[in-house]
Amino acid sequence: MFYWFLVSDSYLWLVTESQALISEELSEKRWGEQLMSRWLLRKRLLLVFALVIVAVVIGALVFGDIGQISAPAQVVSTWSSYLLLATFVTLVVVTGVVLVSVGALTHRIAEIAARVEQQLASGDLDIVVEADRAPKGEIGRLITALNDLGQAYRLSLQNLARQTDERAVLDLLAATINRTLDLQEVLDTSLRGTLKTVKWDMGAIYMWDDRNDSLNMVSFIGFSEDVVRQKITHRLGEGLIGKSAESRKLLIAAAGEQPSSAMEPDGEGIPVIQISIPLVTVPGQLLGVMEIGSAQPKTLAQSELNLLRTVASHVSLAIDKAQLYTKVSQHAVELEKLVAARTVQLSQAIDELWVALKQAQEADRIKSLLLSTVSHELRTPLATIKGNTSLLIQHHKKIPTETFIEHLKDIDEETDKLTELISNLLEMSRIEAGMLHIQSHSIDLIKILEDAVEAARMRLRDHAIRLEQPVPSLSAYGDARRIEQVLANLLDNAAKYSPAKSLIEVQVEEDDRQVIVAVKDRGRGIAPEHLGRIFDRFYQISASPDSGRHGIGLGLAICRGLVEAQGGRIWVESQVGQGSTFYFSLPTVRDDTLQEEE
Amino acid sequence: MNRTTILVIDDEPKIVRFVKTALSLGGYDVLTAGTGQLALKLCESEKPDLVILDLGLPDVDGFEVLREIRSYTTIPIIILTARDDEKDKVRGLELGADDYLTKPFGIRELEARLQAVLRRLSWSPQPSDLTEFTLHSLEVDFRRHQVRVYGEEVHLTPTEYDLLRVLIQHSGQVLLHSDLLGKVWGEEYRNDLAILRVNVSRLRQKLEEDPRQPRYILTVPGVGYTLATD
Repeated sequence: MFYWFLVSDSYLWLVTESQALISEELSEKRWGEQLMSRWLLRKRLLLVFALVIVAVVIGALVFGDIGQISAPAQVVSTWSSYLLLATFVTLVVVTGVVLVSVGALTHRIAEIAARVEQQLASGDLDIVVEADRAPKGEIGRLITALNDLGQAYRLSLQNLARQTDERAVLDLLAATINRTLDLQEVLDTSLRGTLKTVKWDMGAIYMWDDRNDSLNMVSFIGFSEDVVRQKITHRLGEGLIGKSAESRKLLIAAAGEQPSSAMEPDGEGIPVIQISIPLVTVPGQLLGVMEIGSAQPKTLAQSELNLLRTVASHVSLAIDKAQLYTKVSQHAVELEKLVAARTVQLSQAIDELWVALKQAQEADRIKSLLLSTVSHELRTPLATIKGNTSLLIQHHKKIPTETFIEHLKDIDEETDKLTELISNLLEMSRIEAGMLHIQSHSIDLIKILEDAVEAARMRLRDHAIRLEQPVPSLSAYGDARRIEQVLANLLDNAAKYSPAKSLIEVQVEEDDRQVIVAVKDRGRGIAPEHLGRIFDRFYQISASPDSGRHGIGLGLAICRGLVEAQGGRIWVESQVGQGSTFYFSLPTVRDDTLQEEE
Repeated sequence: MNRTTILVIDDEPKIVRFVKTALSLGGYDVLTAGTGQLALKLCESEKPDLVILDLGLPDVDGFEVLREIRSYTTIPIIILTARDDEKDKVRGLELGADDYLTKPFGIRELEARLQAVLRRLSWSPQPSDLTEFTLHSLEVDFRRHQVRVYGEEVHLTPTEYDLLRVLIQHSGQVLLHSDLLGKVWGEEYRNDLAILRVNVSRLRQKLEEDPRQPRYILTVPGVGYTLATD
């Protein structure tokens, strides 16, 4: 009984200790090790229990017949011997069993570990031990757990690889479509990139036109031209494209269905033939729709849908950016044009201002010139008149009569000069105001030339004046008095600028519908720099040392005004040292474009 | 006594004629020149006592003729011109003209100005007047009509000399512009401030070490001028 008690006691002790050990080990060791510990423990305990019983039976057989024990002392000594023996045997057996069990287990686990190691090294994470080969019990469960773990790990790796692939593909797409800011290039590249990324073979991009409320195809790949023609424009809400745009949702057309029966992808496994993905900006503004299609129905995985959505968001961004850039560029171009236009306007305004300024300066210069010239030209004869008059008043008694008359003549001449000056000024102002009194008629020019030359001969006695008459009479259209005035002025000028006794010639000729009169002198000529301005008012060529002053600079300006008012033209040809020839033309018939004052 | 010779330079023969008649009647010898070149030649060869110069000459600018004459002589020069611009007037005076007459002018005015200039030229000190004056580096010998600065003789035009003389006579007193003009040029010039300013300026250029900070001829702003006493 005591032996039984001890055996039972030792069993209980072992169970208790084992449980404590298990709980301790479970809490501290990794789950693989824990599994192994639990299995080992149970087997060990059972074996130990069996061995104890075997040991007791063997002990009894070895150490004597239990039934022969009669004396109490004898009984005690016998039982002690049995117990000692049994304990010894038990220890031996337990140790042996444990060693054998542990050895076997270690071998099996090492086998599994080597296999796992080998598979990890080769990257093969498939099943460690096939199901039919897998042992039952703890080792079996260990293998199953390892198989599960390997599979989970393999799936994770597959996911990771797929995500990495997608990321790479997206990066490539993003890089490609972001390489340019040209909208059409972005659209074409986006479409091409998307099809390549999702491995579909047809596609198109439609841009939203808010002015016409339509989606217009702007880029396509894989569609035949007939299809393109049919698909070129979509209304909002119509068909797959229109519905996708309206709902801002990715919609699909299942194989065998009409695109009008667009549907949201619901779960996996539906054969899809067409997908429409809205392209929207971050604030949700519709940019357009990207459509992809396939000749053969395809089954879409959720991950593929996700990839498509991501691709679409990239494409949207790129399009938005390109559109923004296009807008900015257009604005820049418009701004540039505006700036250019304004610059032109400004430069025109500056030019006009410049011209106005020049005119104002010229007007101012002429005014100053007029004032100083007129002032000088008025003061000089006035000085003579005033000086002579005061002289005669002051000293009339002392001045001999001849000298007296000489001074009076000076006064007289200077008075004439003043009168002429004032007449010229008035004439010029009338010409400028367009208030000349011109009375043009059909006239005999030869007669007028004869009269003018005759008058000049009386006036300019120091010069020889010759009139060359090719015909006895020559008809022209003009104001006889004004023509005489012009001729007188030109002859006076010729005399003034040519040496005494030199010849002055007056010639006339008919040319087409005009007559040309020439006054030719043999004077010192006019330098080229003066030729262009000689008919300007107040323009004077500096006088020669020997010829004194030459008036106010209005004579030729008045001549021009008079000739032009009669429909003619005046010009000069001259070379320094060779004399000058002044020409003026007159029409032979009435010029109706000229307004006459009657 | 030698008769005063006057050179009339003008390119207007009629003006020259009446001026010549008037001056001849006044007892002057008259030379005439219609160009600047001839005028400069005559000025050098004939050494006239006075020049009447028209600024508007056909060959040389009248101011150039003035500058040329003034470069070697202090004889009085009266400008005669149709230009009445203040700038021309000041420029003429600055270049050394003694007076300025604008066309048209009466013969009496010409005679009066002529006489005023000649009076300054022929002015001689009265016995009671100063014979010598010294102020720092400035020395004036009235008997010899000589002015020296640091011992070196300075050539003054008659007008400048006359102006300096009046200032010295009233040394230490403030002379009003009008008084100075009346005393130097004559009563008809009492309002001709420009002629006074230009001559004071020229006098300072000749006498002062730094004409911008004069030590002798001092300005009394808005009133007149005074000669420093020490």
